[in-house]
Amino acid sequence: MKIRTKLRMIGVISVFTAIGMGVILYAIRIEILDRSKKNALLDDIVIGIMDLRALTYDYLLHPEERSRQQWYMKHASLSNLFGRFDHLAAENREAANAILRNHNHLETLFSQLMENAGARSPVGKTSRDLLAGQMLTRSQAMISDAFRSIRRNRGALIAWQETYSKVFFSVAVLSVSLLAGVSFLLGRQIIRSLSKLQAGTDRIAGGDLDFRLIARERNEIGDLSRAFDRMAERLKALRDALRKNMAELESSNKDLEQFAYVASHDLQEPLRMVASYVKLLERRYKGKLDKDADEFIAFAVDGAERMQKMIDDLLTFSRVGTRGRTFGPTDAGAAMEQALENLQLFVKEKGASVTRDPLPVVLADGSQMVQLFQNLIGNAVKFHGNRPPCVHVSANKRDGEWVFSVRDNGIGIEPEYGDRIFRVFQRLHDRETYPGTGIGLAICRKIAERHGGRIWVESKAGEGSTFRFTIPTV
Amino acid sequence: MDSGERGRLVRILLVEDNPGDVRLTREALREGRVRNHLFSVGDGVEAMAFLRGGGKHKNAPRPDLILLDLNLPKKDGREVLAEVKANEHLRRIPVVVLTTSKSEEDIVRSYDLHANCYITKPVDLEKFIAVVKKVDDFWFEVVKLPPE
Repeated sequence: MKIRTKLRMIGVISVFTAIGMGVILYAIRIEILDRSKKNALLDDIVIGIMDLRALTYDYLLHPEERSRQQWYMKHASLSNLFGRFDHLAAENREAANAILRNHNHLETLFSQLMENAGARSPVGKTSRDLLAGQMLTRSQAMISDAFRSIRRNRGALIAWQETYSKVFFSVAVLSVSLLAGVSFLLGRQIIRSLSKLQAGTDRIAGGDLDFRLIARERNEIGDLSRAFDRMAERLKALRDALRKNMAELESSNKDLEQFAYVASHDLQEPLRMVASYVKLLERRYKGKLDKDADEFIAFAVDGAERMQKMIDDLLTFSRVGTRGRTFGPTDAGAAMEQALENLQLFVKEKGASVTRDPLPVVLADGSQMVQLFQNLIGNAVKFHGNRPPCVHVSANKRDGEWVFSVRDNGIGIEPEYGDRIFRVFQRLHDRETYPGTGIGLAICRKIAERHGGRIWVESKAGEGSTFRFTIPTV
Repeated sequence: MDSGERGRLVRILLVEDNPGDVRLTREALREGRVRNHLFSVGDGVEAMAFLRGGGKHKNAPRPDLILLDLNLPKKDGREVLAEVKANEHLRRIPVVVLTTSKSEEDIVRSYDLHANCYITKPVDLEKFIAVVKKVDDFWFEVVKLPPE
């Protein structure tokens, strides 16, 4: 059953129960109020009877018009009370009738008393005392009857009040325990299902995409669990597809690298033959054939030598990916000093000054860091302008990575070539002025990318360049 | 030209499968100071036949020096080296490993198998000629070789 349906049912049952209980309690309450009113009325009646009795005495002492009128007024008001009393006294009809009879009789006795009021004769006096005595007895009987009624009525009142309390208490206890029980059962069911969902979410988040809830509940949580399973299924399919693509990509990438390596490695051998024999020709026959032959051989030798250099560079380039070492803590300062030592002769020859700020320790392939600095500093010195070359190396920490900068005062680079220079064998100048195959920056890019970093250049033609590369911080 | 203390041409066996390299070595030796006779075989099996005087090499002379490439068809240079150094009649012949390989594994392995020296073939012709000349000079001018 749906949780929503259950909640609705609980709501409807609660409302009907509340209404039913309300009606019962209201009825009891009405009864209690009725009894209270009756009691109050009976109290008034008792007081009225006592007042009338007192007025009878008053009239006996002062038999005049004022006291007579007072008596009748009281008697009339008491009659009025009895009129109201009548419809309340159904269950105690006998007592009520007795009271009413005595009350009517009192009026008769009082009119007889009035006739003897002024009597001075002993007979008259005796008859007056007799009447007074009768009236007193009737009053007394009335009070007794009224009190009996009061007692009985109070008993009923207390009984109803008790019933009211009992019903109220029972309803309260029953409602609270029913509500608590239903809440507990429903809550337990919801919490159990939610815990299962929570555990499933954790499993999925942890990468276990084979986990399924397989819920049997026919409620909203069951629906949610089934949606969850469908989501996990879809996620798994996506992940598997992604993994397959990744594996294919990795494999094709590896193939490419392997191809570059094997090609350049295996090309070396035949090329060595070409170069060696062309040079042997030059060595043996230079100046012995005609001028054309000398020139042709010279071009062949130059081409072979350049090709050898390029293949050698290509091999170095492919080795960045295929023959790289594992990363370890590497002092970039030491790597830069090593690069500088390797470039010692070249730097001296060009009269360059190379300075540096303190450089950090990074997680890297040490020999590749040396190669990276060596290529960048080598370039910075090589592409100098009219001024003596000045190179400065620095590093800044920024957004979880170190940004290394190699700044020079050389010829600079037109911004439109900013990307091209990082590609294999891309050159911007003629070979005579600036020798080289054009692989140095491609190697730099490959090293930076292998370390999870980037490389780029900021430059203005004629004003020098700043090459920057990043290495993630440990 | 000097022909060493033997009063005859020194004999060198070159074990090399690439005819281009055989010819280059021959040319380089021709430019050297020592007069020599270069024999060449193209694979390891033939090299052992030559050294043992078997088959078509029945009258093959004993070489004074072996120049050995490591990567050879049929039987490779490492096996040849091991067999030569395990053979009591052949083990005194100096073996110079001359190969394009720079790998540390090949170098260590060769010396473990008692190679007399290990040389990586220079790519550049001038350097190659210089190295061959130095080998020639060292083994036949500087070194005292065992008697036959």
